[in-house]
Amino acid sequence: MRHILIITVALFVVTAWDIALSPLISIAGLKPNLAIIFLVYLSLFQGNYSALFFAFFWGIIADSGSPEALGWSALIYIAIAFVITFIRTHFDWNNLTTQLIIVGIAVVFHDILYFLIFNLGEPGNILFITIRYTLPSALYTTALGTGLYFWLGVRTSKTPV
Amino acid sequence: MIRGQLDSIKKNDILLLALLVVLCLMIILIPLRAKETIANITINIFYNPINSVQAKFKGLYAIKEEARNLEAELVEARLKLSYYSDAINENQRLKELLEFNSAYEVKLIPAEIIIRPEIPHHMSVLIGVGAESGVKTDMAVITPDGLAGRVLRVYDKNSEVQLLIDPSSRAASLDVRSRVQGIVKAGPSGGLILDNVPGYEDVIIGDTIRSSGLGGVFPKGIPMGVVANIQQRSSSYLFADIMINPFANFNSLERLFVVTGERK
Repeated sequence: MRHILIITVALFVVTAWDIALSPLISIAGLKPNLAIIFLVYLSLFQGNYSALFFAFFWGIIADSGSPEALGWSALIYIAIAFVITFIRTHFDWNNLTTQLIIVGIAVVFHDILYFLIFNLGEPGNILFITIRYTLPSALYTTALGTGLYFWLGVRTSKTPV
Repeated sequence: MIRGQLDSIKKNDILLLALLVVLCLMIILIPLRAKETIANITINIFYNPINSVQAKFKGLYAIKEEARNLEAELVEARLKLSYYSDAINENQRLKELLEFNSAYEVKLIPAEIIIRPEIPHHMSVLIGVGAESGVKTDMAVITPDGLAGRVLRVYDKNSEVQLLIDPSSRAASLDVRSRVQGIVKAGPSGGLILDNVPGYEDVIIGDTIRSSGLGGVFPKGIPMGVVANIQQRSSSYLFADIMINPFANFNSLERLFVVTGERK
């Protein structure tokens, strides 16, 4: 029951962020990916079930703006959630720096997978897209994640599930 | 090693993962109409309630100021109306004399933005009007300030709009003052650039850029932006880097209008 509540609240928070706040803090077309921050948090500290369900439902919500692509984002987010839960036993997740590095890598992984699946524009654009959008977006998301994780007290009060 | 890691993950987790992946693949493979139904349900559950709450909050703040402005505009409009009605009649008479037909019959469909997909390199929005309202692919989409983009995909009740700031967006345009033509596309810092304009052409900072009507997607004359900066890369490079500040504020798009007008 607790997990369902956490997932539902997280989905509404990320949706509200997406609609109301994200456009306001966009810098040169770059927006932080709050969903990745939540996904990493859930993967590390709330367990596999919460992370996988959140990944699936947020993927569906994210793609509802482009019904033709429905299902792909869910698949990408599920892959990210699974990879994090798969490798987490090998790292010290109580370290904030490690958490933030994984947030950055997850954003890059998400954006590049998305680009490869939809092959937006020309295939040769991947380098431009990575430099212009993906890496700055990863940095921006990581910066936001620093504040959020610090505020949540993740580093000191939680241990991996 | 991988086997050892897999063993550390519970069987139930693997089953759940497999179930969700199969579910995703099923959703990917179902017909578009079924996808639209799922998307509409998702929008109704998540986006519409938050959108309406946001609209109410914004409305409360904006309504007082808007009422004051509207009152002033109403008085001004009444004064202008009497003047313009005479001008319109005179213009119509002159057109009939010259047997001139206007190039476009412009009609606008107002649309609310439902979703801005959170994809950094894919600048599009989903609007709440679709084929049922007469929207078609490639129709121009504008804000009260200027050109916003074009309709990329049309669904029954919604449409996906590709914004001008999308990296793959292109719009034929011209400098209103000098009539120099170029292509407006996404710039490096979230703005727009006027491309394909040789450095020797007459374009200066402050010039207004409008759609030229060439290419057949955007009707002629829709304001796009104003020239903010011009840089010549080198004396040997033919084209200038012309930065444009768009009239439409892409960071706070709220109301859009689909231009359903067609060339006569």
